[in-house]
Amino acid sequence: MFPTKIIRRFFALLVLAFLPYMSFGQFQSAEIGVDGLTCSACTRAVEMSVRKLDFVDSVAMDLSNTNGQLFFKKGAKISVEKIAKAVTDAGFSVRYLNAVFNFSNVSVEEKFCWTYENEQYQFVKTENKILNGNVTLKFIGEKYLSKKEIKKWSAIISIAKGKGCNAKNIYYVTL
Amino acid sequence: MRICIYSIILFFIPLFSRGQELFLHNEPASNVPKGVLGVRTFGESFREISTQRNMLAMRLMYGVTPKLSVYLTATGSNHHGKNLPKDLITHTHIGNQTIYYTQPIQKGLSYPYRFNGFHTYAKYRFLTFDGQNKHFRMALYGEWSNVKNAHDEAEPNLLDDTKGYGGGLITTYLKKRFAVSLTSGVIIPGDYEETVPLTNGSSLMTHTKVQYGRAIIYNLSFGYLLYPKEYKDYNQTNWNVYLEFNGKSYEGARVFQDGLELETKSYSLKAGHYVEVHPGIQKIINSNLRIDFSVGFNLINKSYARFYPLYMIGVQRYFFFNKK
Repeated sequence: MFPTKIIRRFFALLVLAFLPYMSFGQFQSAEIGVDGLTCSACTRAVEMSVRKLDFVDSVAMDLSNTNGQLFFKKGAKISVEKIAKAVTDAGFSVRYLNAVFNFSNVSVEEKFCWTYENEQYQFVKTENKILNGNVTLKFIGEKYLSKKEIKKWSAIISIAKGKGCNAKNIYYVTL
Repeated sequence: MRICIYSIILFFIPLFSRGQELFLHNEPASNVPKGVLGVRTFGESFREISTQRNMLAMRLMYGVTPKLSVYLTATGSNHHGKNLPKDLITHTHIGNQTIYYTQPIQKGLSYPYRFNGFHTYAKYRFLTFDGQNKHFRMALYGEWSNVKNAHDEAEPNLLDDTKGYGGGLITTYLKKRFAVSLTSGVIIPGDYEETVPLTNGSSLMTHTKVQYGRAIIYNLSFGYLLYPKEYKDYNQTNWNVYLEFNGKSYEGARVFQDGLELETKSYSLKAGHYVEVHPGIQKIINSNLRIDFSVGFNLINKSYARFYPLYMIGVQRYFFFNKK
């Protein structure tokens, strides 16, 4: 009986120890920059495509700067990949994709792998920092950056690969 | 007339210093968004001597994937009779020999409205270079038509005159308020066949076949966003102006009567080429409802399949099927 009790206590302590590092926040909003747009009807097509996503509550597009703010439904599971796909489905390209997450005491560093709702997010080009409150995560990858911008990141990503997260699909993020 | 055309061109040229790719006559290399249905209805009208010739079309467009769009267009018009014109084929006697040949037909005859058939079109975007407020894109297209009209000109036109298929390449460049697009392609038309009494009431039947000429097309479109000067919201009415040059070069038609090829003496059945210019204006309401209007003139030679000026009016809208 004795060893079982100890094991239980050990696990309870373990959970308590990690509590500060477990985030209870969620993605609040995202900002997308869209390339290839020059007409308001085209921008509207992008908005309509993004609005179809079940976790999106509202969308506000800036027609002159061809970017948009997305606000998410509370408690909904957000997929950044689906946001990018909605833009390309409308026939346009993602210039940048930033998402705001409400962190509570998450200590990050280079190669840090952060898991949230079964998705893995690996921090790249990141200094040691404790994240608290609303923090903007910049998504790095072919789907989330323009062709020109991704060139600057390709070397960093290839070095970071396999050194942090180990899931099949990893989001690379930076602050 | 020519002075009028040149002055229109001169009016539009300064506007091209700085756009829009929602061309009235040509397709851009961009696609219908995925899962979106577009509905377009348009009509063309011109006066042929004392008869007003009209064509009405209904088009459904759908974005199958972000890169593949398919269109289905049904057309009706009063351009053709049920059979080829009676005066198209005539004959002369040399000694005791009868020589049949085609001759220019009487223009301006009134025909009832007829359903022409269906035209299908697919466009695949294979190259995309997008930047902020600009893009360079290329697409391949293919088209097929089952239209079977008693068309009496060599020039093929898959939308509403002749059956057949075609394909080509679209290259579109767009920057801020200005858009330019080149469409080049080929048309491989089918033929038209009929078996009718030799003369009215005759029990003798004669079989006529017209094989239309293959064609290449070269269309150059310019577009410019006139208003608003700065985008603020979707409710701003957009005004776009367009200038489209449509060129076509086609082979001569071959006409066969009861298996024998006839000499074509009518100019409209011979090989030819022409370039038209279509200045147009477009109003877009609520960033969705498009209203198009253009007037076309011949610039180099002319098409024998129509008269000028050629008026076009179109209305188009996208349906997004949002759950919300």
